This record gives sequence, C-alpha cells and structure tokens, in this order.
Amino acid sequence: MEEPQILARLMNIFRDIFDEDSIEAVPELSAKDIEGWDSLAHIRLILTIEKAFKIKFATSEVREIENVQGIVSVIKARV
Amino acid sequence: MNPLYTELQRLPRAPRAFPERVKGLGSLNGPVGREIQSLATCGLDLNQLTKLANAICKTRKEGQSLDPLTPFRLAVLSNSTSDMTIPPLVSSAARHGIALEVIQPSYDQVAQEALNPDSKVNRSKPDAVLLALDYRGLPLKLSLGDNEIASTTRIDLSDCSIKKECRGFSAITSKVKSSTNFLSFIEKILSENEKDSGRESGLKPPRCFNPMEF
Repeated sequence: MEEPQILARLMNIFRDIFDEDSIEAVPELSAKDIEGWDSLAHIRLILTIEKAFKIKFATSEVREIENVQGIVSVIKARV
Repeated sequence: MNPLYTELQRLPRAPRAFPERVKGLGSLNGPVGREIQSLATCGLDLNQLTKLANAICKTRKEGQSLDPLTPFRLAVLSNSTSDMTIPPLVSSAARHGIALEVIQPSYDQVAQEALNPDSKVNRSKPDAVLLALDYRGLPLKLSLGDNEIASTTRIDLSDCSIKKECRGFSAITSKVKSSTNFLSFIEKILSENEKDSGRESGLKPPRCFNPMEF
C-alpha cells in the first residue's frame, strides 16, 4: 500500500476518533496539534488503526510513535 | 474472543448517520433519553461508545433532561487505570434505560476515597460503589510456582485494608450494592469479623481466610 493511500485512510480514522472534520493527516501531525490526543486517545487510535489495517503494533512501536509519519512507517512495513 | 460479544455483533449495526445524530443531541428540544437509548441499542465499537458517552456527559452538564432514562450514580474505585472502561459503561447503561453518571476519583486512591468522609466519592453520594480491584489490591504474596508460599498466602483479618475500606463506605453511604463473588468475599470477611469481635479479650484465635475458597 502506498503512502498517500495510507494517509487517506488515516485521515478518516483521525477525524472519527477526535471528532474533528478539519484534521488533515499530514506526516508531521503530532499529539501537540490535536486537542484530546492524550495517552488514552492514543490507545484508541492504535486499536482502531490495528483493526482497520488488520495489523498489530508492538508495545515498543506504540511508545515510539511521535507523529503520523511514525504510524505510516509501521503500517508500510506490515501491509 | 467471540466478536458476537466483544464487538456487540448481536445488536443491530449502527446507522450511517450515527456521528451526526450524536452531534445533534445537544440541539434537540426536550428530553433526549429516547434518542440516546436508540443510538445505544446499536452494536457500537469503542470509538462510538466513547463518542456517545461524551455526548451524554455533555448533555447532562448542559442541564438537558435525559428522561425517560433512570438516573444512576456509580462511583468506580480502582487500583489500576479504568478510564478506558468508563465510556463503554455509560453508553451500555443507556442501552438498558439507565442514565449512568460515573464518579471517578484519582488513580489508586481507593482507601483515601473510602475512609475520608469528605472525599469526592463520599460527597457525591453514589447509588453504588464499584470496587474494581485486581490482585494488587489484596494482601497476597507473589507465589507463582511456589507451593510453599502459596500455602501460607492467606488474608489476616487484623491487617485487611479492604475490610477497612468497605467499612468506610458502609458507614457513610447507605446504598452500597454488591453482586460479584469478590464482594461476597468481602461481605463474608466483614460478617466473620463481627463474629470474631471477642478476639481482643482472647476468647478466640485470629481467623484467616483463603480467597481461593470463593
């Protein structure tokens, strides 16, 4: 799966989880840019991405993700 | 795990307009309980359950009536992170006709909340208290694979903090309800402790219970 496709799917997930239709899933988007992206929302985000892409994140990967690019990298390596 | 239960597949699928209907709760005229219950009756995923729970909380804060849902205030005391379980509880309660309000004190403050009459939980006068404690809340020794230690792992009533915590609640709230095996265990401890009240006079030896009996 190519990066633009992944970003497009991630954008829908981000918009759904954070209930904000103006979110653009750009690679540098991080927790400081979205209100409500705290540790609990991060877990929901990861669970939703796992389900949508049918992949599993390692615990260390979940901790190390700092922005959307980090998520994309993990997804690209799995699908 | 079976998705029939984990993903509520036994329930009708959520309508496509679920997000819009949740957002629209605030602009409805009159009580919103029926609309909330209608949305809660669908097989919602974690995000949808969280969205609906947030909307219920917001609606309550804004003073909108949740009729005909029955109000119920539940305090949740846990020695682990329970934040992820609260929104599903609130939304699922609405499915059963209950407007659940959850009182959640700070992390790992079980004893303080139970024993302090002026604590957040006691001041909120909950209809029920859920003690969501895991094994770390019990005075047990780690005995994995060690039968000798396991055989000595017992709860000494003279040093049972859970007993004290339960007393704190029973003295302050009149409606502490319990239905789990764990709470049956606590009740048994309390009732046995009453029987042992002569212990200080030396009439009876201290009693111990093995939680595995329950």
